[in-house]
Amino acid sequence: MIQARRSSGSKLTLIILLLASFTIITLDFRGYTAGIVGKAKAIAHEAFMPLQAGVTGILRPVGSYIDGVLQVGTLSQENQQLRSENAALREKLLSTSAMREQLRQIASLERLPFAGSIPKVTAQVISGSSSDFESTITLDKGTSSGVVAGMPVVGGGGLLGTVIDAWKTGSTVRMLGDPRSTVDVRLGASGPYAMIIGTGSASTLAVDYVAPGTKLAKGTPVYTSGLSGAIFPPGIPVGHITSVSGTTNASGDESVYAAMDASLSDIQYVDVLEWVQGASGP
Amino acid sequence: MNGFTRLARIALVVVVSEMVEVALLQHVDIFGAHPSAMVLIPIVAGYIAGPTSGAATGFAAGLVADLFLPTPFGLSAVVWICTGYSAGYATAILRGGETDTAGSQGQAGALPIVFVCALFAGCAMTGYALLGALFGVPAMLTYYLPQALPAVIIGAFAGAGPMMMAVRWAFRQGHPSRGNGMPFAPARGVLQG
Repeated sequence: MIQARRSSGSKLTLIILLLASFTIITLDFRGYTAGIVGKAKAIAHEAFMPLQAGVTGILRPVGSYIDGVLQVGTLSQENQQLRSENAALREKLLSTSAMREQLRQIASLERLPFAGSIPKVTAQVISGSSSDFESTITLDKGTSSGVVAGMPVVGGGGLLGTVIDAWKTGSTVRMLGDPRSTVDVRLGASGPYAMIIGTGSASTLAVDYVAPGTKLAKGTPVYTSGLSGAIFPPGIPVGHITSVSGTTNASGDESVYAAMDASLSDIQYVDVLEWVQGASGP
Repeated sequence: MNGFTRLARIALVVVVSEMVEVALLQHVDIFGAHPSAMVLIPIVAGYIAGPTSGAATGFAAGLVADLFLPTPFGLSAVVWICTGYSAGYATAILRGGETDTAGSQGQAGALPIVFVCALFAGCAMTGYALLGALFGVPAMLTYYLPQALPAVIIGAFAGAGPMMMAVRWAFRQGHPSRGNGMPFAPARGVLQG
C-alpha cells in the first residue's frame, strides 16, 4: 500500500516536471521568455567566460605542442611545399595587381558592396560548442564591441557562419556546417542562385534549389548572393562545388555538394562583419 | 544537515560540472565529439536516490545546461528528467527493491555505476537526438548522434566514479534519526549510512 503510494507519487512528480519542461519549451518557442532566458543566458555566459578563456589559453599551446610533436615529419614536408607555393604566388601577385584594379573598378561601377570594406571586429575563438549536437564557436567579443546577433563571421579564407547570440563580453557563432545554417548563394560570378544548407559535417555543404540539368563544374566558386533580404552581404567566398551528381534529389532539384573555403583547422581569430540583415553595403 | 544545505550542495555539483564541461571537456576530442559531465548527474542521482530524485536533478541540471545551448530552452531538461527517472527506476527494479527507495548507499555496489552511466548516457543522447529530429533537425539523429555516442559512453565510463563521489556527497545524510532530509525524494530509508 505504502509502496503503491510512493510509486504513484513518484510518477506524479515525473509528470509535473515534464509538464513544466514542455511549458518552458513552448513559452521559449513563442518568444514569451526571450527577455528572462536571454538575461539568464547572458549572466551565465559572462560568469563562465573568464574561466573558459583561461582554460583555453592554457590548453591551446599544450595541444599545439603535442600536435607539433606528433606531426613533425608532415610539418617539414608541408613547410617545403609552402615555400614553393609562396614563390609561385609572388609571381602571380604581380600579374594579379592589374586584375585587382579591374575588379575594383567593376565592383564600384556595379555598386557591389564589397565585404572587405565593411567594418569588422576581430575576435578570438574561446571555445567550440558545449554540445555534440551543433556546430558553434564562442568568441571573446560581444555587444560591448558592437557585435550583435545576425552579423556574418568570416575567417580562414571565407565565410564561417553567423552570430546567433551575443552578450556583453562574448558571442556564439553558428557555423555554416550546422544543419540549421542556410545561406543564399550564387554559383560562380554570374551563375544561378541557390541555397547552401549545412549537413552537420564541417566540410560538406548541400547546395539546394539548383534546377535539374544546370551545367556546373567541380571547383566552381560559391559566393554569398546578397539578394534582397539576404542575411549576408554579397560577394563573400563561401566554398566551391565538389560534386555534381547529375541526378535529382527528393525535392526534384539537382543534387550538388560544396566544400567550405574557410579552413577550420585550429581557427583562433575571426572577423565579425558589422553588417546586419537588410542593411545595404557601403 | 537540512534540506537547504543539501539543495545547495546539489546546485554546487551542477554548477561545477557545467564549468568542467564548458571549460575543460570541450578540449577533449573523442572521434570528433566531446564527453559530457552534466548528463551523468541525473543518472547518478537516480542510481543513488531513486527515480524522483533522478528526475528532479535532471530537471535542474537540464535547465542549467540549456543556458549554454542555442537549442530551445528546456530541451535538455525534458531528456534528463526521463534519463534520471529511468536510471533510478531501472536500478531499483534490477535490485528488486522499491522503485523510489532502492538506491540507498548501502546497496550502491550491487550494480556497477559505470555500466549504468554508460547505458543511460547513451540513451540520453539518443533521446536528445530524437527530440531534436522531431523539432526539425534530422541531422542530429543521422550525423551528430553516431559521432557523439562513443564520446559520451567513453566519458561516462571515465566520469562515473568522480560523479558518484560528488553526487553522493551532495545527497549525504547528516544523521539517520533526522529523517532523510532530501530535497527531492521524501521516501524513508533512503541514503542511510
